[in-house]
Amino acid sequence: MNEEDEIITKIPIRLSNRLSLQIHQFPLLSRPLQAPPSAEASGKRITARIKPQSRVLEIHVPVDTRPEVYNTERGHELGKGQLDDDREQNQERKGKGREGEEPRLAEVRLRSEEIPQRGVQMLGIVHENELHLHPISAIHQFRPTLTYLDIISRKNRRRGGDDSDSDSDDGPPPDPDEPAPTAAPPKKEKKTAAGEAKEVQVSARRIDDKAGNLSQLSNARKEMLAIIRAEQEESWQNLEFCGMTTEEAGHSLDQFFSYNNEELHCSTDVTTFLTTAPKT
Amino acid sequence: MSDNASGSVSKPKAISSLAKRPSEVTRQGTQKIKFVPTLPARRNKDVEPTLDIIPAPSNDRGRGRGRGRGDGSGRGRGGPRPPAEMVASGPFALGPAMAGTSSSRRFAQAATPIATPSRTEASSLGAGLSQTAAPKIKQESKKEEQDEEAYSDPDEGVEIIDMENVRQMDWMAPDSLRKEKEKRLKKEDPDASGGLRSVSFHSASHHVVVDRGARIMDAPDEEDDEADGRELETMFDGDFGITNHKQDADNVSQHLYLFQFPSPFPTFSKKGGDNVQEETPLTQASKKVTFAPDVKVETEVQPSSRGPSAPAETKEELDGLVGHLEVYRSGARKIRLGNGIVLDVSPASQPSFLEHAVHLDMQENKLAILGEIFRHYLVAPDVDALLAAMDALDSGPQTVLAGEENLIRMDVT
Repeated sequence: MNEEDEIITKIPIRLSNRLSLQIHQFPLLSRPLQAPPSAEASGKRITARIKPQSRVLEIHVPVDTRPEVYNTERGHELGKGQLDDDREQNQERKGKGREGEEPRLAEVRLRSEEIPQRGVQMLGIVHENELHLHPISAIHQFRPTLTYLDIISRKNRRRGGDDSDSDSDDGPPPDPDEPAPTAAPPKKEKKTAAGEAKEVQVSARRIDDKAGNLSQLSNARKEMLAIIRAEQEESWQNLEFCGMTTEEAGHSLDQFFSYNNEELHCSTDVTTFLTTAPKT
Repeated sequence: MSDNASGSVSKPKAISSLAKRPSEVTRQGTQKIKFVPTLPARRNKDVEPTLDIIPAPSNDRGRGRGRGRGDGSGRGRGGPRPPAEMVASGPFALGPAMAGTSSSRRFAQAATPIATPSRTEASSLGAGLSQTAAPKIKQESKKEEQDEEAYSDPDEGVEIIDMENVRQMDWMAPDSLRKEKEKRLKKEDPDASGGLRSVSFHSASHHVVVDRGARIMDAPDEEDDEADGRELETMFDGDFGITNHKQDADNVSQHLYLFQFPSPFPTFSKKGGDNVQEETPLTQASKKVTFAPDVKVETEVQPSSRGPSAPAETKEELDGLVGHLEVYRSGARKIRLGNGIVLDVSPASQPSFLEHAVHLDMQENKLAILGEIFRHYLVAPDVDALLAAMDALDSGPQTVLAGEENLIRMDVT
C-alpha cells in the first residue's frame, strides 16, 4: 500500500440487527419483479406464501394474459392441471375466483431454495453519509415450479397407454399437414402379444454382506424422505407481499437503519479470522 | 391453430412490388416480415411512434425502476414514493402506462391476432402489441445517445423493426443484444489518458471501463445483454464518498450494497461503561435478563452466557457505530473497525439477475421488499494488518526476561 495514499473521505459505519433480512435471488429473471400492466389493471397482484418450518417460500407473479402473448387454450389446459395439482397437495385456494369459469394458468409460481451462506453477508445502505450494515439471515433462490405439468403428463400417460418413457405427451400439437401419429396402437398390440407368450418367475434377494453400510444408507435415505414428507405435509401460510414502493416496505426500511449513536465495543481481533475454524 | 381458410379470403392491396409470392408467405399464411437493411428513413406510420412520447409516470414503473435509477423523486428512502413525481427519460422510458393503449388497438376480429392472414399489411402482426418495454433492473448508465438507425421508407405492408429496439415493442418483448463492435473502437481514445477517474460511459453498448493503471477489465466480448456493463465496473467513484456528479446524493442513498464479510464476523456489544443505558435496552429486548450493575456486559457477550437465563433469544440487539469506511485517493477502500481490525473492500462479481433485499416479518405475516441489490462487495482482512496481528499474537503474551531481549524465542508449537 502506498504510503502517500491519502484518505479522501471517512464514512462512519453503523451496525444493527433488528430485522430478519433475507436476500431473494431470481436467477432466471433479469427484469424487475412486477406484475404485467394488463394483470395489474385487472386487479391481480403479486402474492407470497411460506412454509416456515421447511423454510420454503413461494412467490406468485401474475402472467400477461393478453391474446397477443398468451395462448388461451393452453392456458386452460395447464390451469386445470394446476388446479388438480393443488387439490392433490391440499393447497387449493378456497373460494377464490369465479365459480363456473374454467381455471386458467394465470400466474408463475416461483419456489425458493435456501442457499448456504458463504462468509457473513451484510446489507449496506448509505444513508446521510453513513454506511448502515445489517446481517442477512438467509439467502433464497427462486425458480418457477412447473408441477402442474407432472399431473398432466401423468394423465396423458394413463390415457396413452404404453408409451410411458417418452415425455412427448405434452409436446407441440400435431401439425395438421403431417399424418396423425399412429405409433401408439401398434405398440400396444405388440406388448400384449409378448405378454401372452410366457410367464417368468422373478424374485429379488438383497445382498447382505455389507449389512452395516446398507442400513446406514437407508437411514440417510429415510431422513431425506422424512424431510421431504414433512415439507409436503406442512401447510402454507399466506404472506402479505409488500413491494418496494409500499408503505410497509418504507416502514421496514426505517427499522433497518441504526439510530443509536453510541459506539459498540468490539471484542474480537483480526486474528480470529485465521484462528477460528470456519463454521460450515 | 391459425385459420388457413381465412387466408385466402381477402386479397392484398395491389402493389406491384409486393405481389404475394410463395416465398413471402409463411406456412401459416402470414405475411413474412421483410427486414430491410439500414438506410435512412422513418418508422412505419402504422406503428405508434414510441421514442417521442414520454408517458405520464405511473406507480408501476416507479416500482420497477426507481431504485437503481433514482429518478430524483425528491424524497430519500424511508418513505413511500409519491406517485406522480417521476419523469421518465432514456430509451427504455416507456413504462406500463402505455399498456392502456394496447387494448384499444386490438382489432375486432374473430381469429387470434397473432396469425392474421386476413389482414393485408404485415404490420398486423405487431399491431396488437403495446408499444412499451418492460423495465430493466438497475440501470446506471442512462447516457445513451440513441444512434437511431435511419431506414429507408418502408414499402406498404412491410414493417420495419429495428432489432435493437425489439425491447420496446411490448411488455413481453425479449431483450435485444446490443451492438458492441463499433463502440469498442470509440472506446480506445478516451482511455488513452489513463487517468484514475476516467469512467467512460458508452451509449448503446453500456460499456464502462475504469482505468486504473492497466485496463484490467477490458473484455467486452464476454458481456451479454444482461451483464449491462456492471461487471466491468470496479470501484465506482460514485459509491461511498466521492460523489460522482453523475449521481446526486439522493441516488446513492437508495442503493443497496451487499457485503460479504469473512466469517466469523467480529462480535460487538454495547459498551460496559454506562450500565444504566445498558439495562434499558436489555429490558426492551423481550427475553433478556438485566444484569446487576457491576457486571461488565461486554466480556460476556457470548450467547452461551445468556443461555441459562434467556430461553430463545441468543442474538443480542445491536445498534451503534462500529467503525469507519475509509476511501483512499488510489480508489482503495478499507473498513476499519475496533480492535485494530482492518478490512479491504473490493468489488465482487456482479450477478446479472435480479436480487431483492427482503424483510420477512413472521409476526405480522409480511414480506416487505426493501429494494433491489445494487452491487456486491467482497470484504477481506487487510493482509498486512492481519500478519502483524498474528505476529503480535504469537509473541505477545511472553514477558521478556532480563537478559533475553536480544534472543529469539524458539517456536515449539
